[in-house]
Amino acid sequence: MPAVMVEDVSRHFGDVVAVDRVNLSIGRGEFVTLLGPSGCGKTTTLRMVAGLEQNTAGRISIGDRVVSDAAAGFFVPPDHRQLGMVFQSYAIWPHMTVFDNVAYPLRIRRRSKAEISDRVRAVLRLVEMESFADRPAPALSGGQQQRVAIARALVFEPEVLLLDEPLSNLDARLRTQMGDEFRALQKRLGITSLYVTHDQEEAMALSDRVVVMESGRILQVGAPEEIYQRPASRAVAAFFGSPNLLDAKVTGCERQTDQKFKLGITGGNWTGQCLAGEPFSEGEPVLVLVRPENVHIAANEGAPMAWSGRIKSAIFRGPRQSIVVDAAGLALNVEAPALLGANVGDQVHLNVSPAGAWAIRPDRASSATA
Amino acid sequence: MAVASGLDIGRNSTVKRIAGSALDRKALFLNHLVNFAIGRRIGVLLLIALLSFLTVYPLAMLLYGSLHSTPPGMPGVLNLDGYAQIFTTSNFLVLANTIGISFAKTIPSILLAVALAFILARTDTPARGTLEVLVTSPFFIPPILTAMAWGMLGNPQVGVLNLVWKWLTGATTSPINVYSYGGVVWHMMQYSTPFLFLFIVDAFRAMDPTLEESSRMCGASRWHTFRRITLILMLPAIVSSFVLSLMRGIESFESPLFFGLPAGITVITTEIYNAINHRATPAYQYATALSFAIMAFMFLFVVWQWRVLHGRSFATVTGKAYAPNVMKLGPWRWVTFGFCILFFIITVVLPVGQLLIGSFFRFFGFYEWDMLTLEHYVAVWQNKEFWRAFSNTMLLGVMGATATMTLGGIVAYVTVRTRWRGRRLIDVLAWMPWMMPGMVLGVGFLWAFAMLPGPIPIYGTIWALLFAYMALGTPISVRVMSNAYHQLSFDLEECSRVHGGSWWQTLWRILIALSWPSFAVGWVLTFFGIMRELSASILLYSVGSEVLSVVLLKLWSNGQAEQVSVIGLLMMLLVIFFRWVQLKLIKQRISTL
Repeated sequence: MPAVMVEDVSRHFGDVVAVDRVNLSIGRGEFVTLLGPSGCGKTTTLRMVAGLEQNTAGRISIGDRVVSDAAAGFFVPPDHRQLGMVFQSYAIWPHMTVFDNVAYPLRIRRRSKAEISDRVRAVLRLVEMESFADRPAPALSGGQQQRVAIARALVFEPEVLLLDEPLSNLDARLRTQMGDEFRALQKRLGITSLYVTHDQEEAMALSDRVVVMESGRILQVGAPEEIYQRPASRAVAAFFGSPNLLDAKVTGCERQTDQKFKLGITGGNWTGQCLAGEPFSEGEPVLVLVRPENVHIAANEGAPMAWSGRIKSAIFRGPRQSIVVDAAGLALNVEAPALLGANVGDQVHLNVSPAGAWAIRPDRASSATA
Repeated sequence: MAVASGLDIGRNSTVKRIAGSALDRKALFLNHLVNFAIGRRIGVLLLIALLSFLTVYPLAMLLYGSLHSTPPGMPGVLNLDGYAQIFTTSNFLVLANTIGISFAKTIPSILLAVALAFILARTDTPARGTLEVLVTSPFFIPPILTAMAWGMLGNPQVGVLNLVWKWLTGATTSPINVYSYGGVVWHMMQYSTPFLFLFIVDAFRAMDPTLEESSRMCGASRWHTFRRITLILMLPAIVSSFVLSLMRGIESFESPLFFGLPAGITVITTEIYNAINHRATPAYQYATALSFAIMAFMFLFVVWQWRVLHGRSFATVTGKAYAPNVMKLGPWRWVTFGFCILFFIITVVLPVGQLLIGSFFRFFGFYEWDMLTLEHYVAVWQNKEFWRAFSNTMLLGVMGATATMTLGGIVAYVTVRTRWRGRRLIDVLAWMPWMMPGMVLGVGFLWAFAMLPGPIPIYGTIWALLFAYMALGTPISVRVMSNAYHQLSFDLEECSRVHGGSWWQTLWRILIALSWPSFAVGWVLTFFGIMRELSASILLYSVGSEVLSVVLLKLWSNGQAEQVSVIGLLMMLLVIFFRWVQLKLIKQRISTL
């Protein structure tokens, strides 16, 4: 049985549809991330699971318990849902010490003093904040506040942990560190987590599954690698980085053993091969996704998909170099090793292997798959 | 590892418990939900009923009374005579006086207030913290006290200032006569300058210094930057407080009562007062019609203020705490320092000193050694009416401030933090007294209590005053509490709900626990307001329910200025004590007004 079930859930604000018929099932111990640009409905979805917002249609269950059913007019308020939540602002109550903050959920549940003390100490040890227990909450740094917020959300062993962009207020280095630490802790405790972020790298590094949302709808659900390498639509493909999306025609299609299809394609002055998740018939138009890091700069022209052109711009980014190559009117983004030392004006050859190119139907601009 | 397994055991037991009783729980929650919704609806209705009683009811009675030919409680007919009587040439002069005086006091007050705010927020004048407390202190002194003190200081025959001037120059004529237009304006300014300062200084302080720095980087001089950037950004705050101060000037009662009436200068509040208290037969219909008309007039001001405020008011206030640029004044900083001290001496030291001196001499104005006496202290000590008024004021102050702040806290919560149906109505109802001068509200309640059915005897008891004070104080208490709530992010509240806190637990343990310093500061402010209230009290008191300000006025009219000084000093002690408490609380870093 899944830990969280979201069935056909919508949220209307007057005429505006913030969340539109979302379906999602989260398994026990799973880490699922809602990813999308701001205003895509991801936070509203999280808040509906939390009970902070009431869904106007659909049904939400946590464990075996229905917590909200719009059709039946049934709604469990947030304080009866047994959840833990980490807020974007951390929401550390400034009039309490660290200990009091973490002890709050237990005190509300009228646990004994001894139990409260034991559990709070234990959970503070877990997030390495034990020595800060008696500090007043405002005297903490951002990273420390974040640990306290996590400790507070974990202290009464909630069925599900909800996290609303918990890392977005930290600086870049701390963000990565806290993210990794949290993921390790989550795996160790096996706690079901629903996480909201707009940061693609964060989503991919932390999650078991990523849910990509846009305009209140789910575009695609899948493992980070699948979402990144084998997107179902142009929108999902375009959401990560600055990919090359090439218009092409199918020249051949053959089924492979791993339920994928290998296509022969042509784009007018170039030809090549790529993979696809569904069969295409000959002559059909396709959109070919080529990630910039899958384009290789080579000394001489190779097969099966190749271009040659002149470097239009090159930006040094430290570990790598972002290059734009003008290949007979086609502007191709290339991520190359920094050691390559490419210069503007250089004539180069570009190769892409069939595994590095993925074909999608061009008309599937924004239709949903689950 | 021990911790992890401990957590696991806990979770399993929870799961079992839930699985066993899923159906019961569903029923329970439905019940709970329905109860909560009904309870909430009843709560909102009660709140609307209470607020309506405090605002709509006296207002409706005001309209009724203005059409009613006889005093409250007597049989009469409905006609428009009251309104017909308003439109006279002398009333046109009254209106011109009212508006003219209000402008005459607001313009110099705002210039002074801007100067003081700039000095104290943006220059390196020494001891700015202390100076700020000194400069704002006249705001907390009941105007009736300074009015009486200035009546003694600026009396053309025996006023200390005139005596000193004559002694210094050998002149025989008195240069100062406080019973004049100038006197009315002068007295109003002492109150409105610190009032405006309190409104403006935060805007000066909350300004993002990079806005000015970028102007300097674009090549603008300091003076140019001040004129084109700082002042323009401050403009919304300055303009809105200007309108507010104008309104307060029109509502003002003490200054025209003490300095205007003896000189034959009448404004609208004193005209209403005269019509009820100083005519052979009180002209209730005329006074009520005038009250209603002035309320309609104030409504225009409110609309204007609303238009001025709308959209522009908080342009520079981002809620972020900035450290604004401080201008280095060099030796000039002692001039600005002296300026602030001078302001304090004129507005506080002089009048309070006069009360002190006046209380020790047999007759004020005759300051000889053999006139020194303690008899006024003895007289006040033995004055039963004073003690009754003192205990009434204390009782009303404590009850009124507590009730008003509680009401304000609830109203602010409903309007700021919830999306409940009816919250807009509640907001409007609670804000309505904002455009009712105390005098007008007093007249309204006079009718309102007289029209209550027989078994509810409110008129003539201190409850009558309590309701009036609550109505007058509610807009400010709502403002203080909604400011406090605005500073708390919704997350703090929602976080408590998600982690198991019920609505009440969250209200109590998070919101109230976090905003109690604001509550206390607002409490003291409301208490001050009640202690200094005169215009509604003078209409609504009766024997047995006098308050200090009423007793002071009666003693003053009887020519007992010396006893007035004694009582005034006692009130000053109270003011100092509560102001000290308030400053202690503000130090703990919560918003001021």
